[in-house]
Amino acid sequence: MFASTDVGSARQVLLLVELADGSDFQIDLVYPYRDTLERARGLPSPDWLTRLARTSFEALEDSPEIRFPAPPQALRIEVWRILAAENTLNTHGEMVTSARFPLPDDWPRD
Amino acid sequence: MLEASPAALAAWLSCVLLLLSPVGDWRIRPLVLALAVLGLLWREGWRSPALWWALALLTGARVLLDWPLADNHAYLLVYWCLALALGVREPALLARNARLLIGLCFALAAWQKWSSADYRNDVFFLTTFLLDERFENLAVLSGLSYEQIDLAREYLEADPRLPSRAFPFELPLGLWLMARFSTVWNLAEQSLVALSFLVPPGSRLRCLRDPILLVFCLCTYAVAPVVGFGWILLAMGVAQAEASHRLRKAYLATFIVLIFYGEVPWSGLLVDLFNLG
Repeated sequence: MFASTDVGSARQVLLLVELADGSDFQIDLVYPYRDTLERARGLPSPDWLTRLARTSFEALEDSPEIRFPAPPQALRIEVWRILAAENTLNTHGEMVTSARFPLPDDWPRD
Repeated sequence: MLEASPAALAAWLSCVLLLLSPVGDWRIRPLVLALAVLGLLWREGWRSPALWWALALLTGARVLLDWPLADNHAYLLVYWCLALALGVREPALLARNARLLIGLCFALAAWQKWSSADYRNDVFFLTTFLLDERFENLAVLSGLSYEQIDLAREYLEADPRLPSRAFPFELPLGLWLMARFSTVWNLAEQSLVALSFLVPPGSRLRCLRDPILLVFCLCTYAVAPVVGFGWILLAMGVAQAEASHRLRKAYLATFIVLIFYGEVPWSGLLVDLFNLG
């Protein structure tokens, strides 16, 4: 009941597609996939992160307009929280958890 | 309803709150609304344990469907429907459960606050006033402009991988004072509510429990936009209150005041009145 800044809605989830050239390509989820992201953000357990990865792969399959500059290799999910300093409110990010999911074997895209 | 027993009044108010603040998505909400209407209109249906078992099941299903995102008062509503199912015909049992639910709810809330560093140092309220759109007008009343609020949001919600930067402007004294007051007031008041509801019978502190709960609801829900939570607390409060007309009137009046809190955007009206922002 209103006690901490570390609540699900204040966390940030980064969905980063790792590419063969070593760079990351950040994606975002919209309806209807976003619901899973919000649940995983609230409870970033291995189970919810796995569900989020699965949902992200589905979303990517449904978004053929996305073109990666290099072949995608894996999806990295990072959950961050923002910490604000007493007296100044200067912020810095702190990673809550992260997980890496190789692309499925039947991944259809280049 | 003023002549009804505390248990009956509590059950009736609980049906009203489910109508005013229906819960769940399209699968749950129509059923909850139908049961609430049934409880109010059909042969004093609010006195039926079956009604409350059904509502406990539905509100419980809502928590499961929303897992893990359900708000804390969603859980409290399930417990309260269960308490009504068990005690709507046994007023002493209902009163005891209502007292325990309020006491434990506030004890856990107070413990969370006491143990949270970013609550105790005001950071929680400062960032809440800046980030939560529902408190935007309150932030403006404390001396911020809407442009500053936008800047603050951009800063506080920036990419967390960026290196640490300084806050983009100096926060007004009014915001610091409002955050400090909110921190101290909530800690003190919630601790006191917990104590007054959990102390053994005979303690003088116990006599304060109804006025303190009413003050909590009148103050908190004027600002916090979750009147549904307030209505649940008031329904539980009625169930455990002494059978006095004055107390019942006070609980009913507070219940009605909260309806207006939910419908009248008073902070926005004040901002417009004083041409702030």
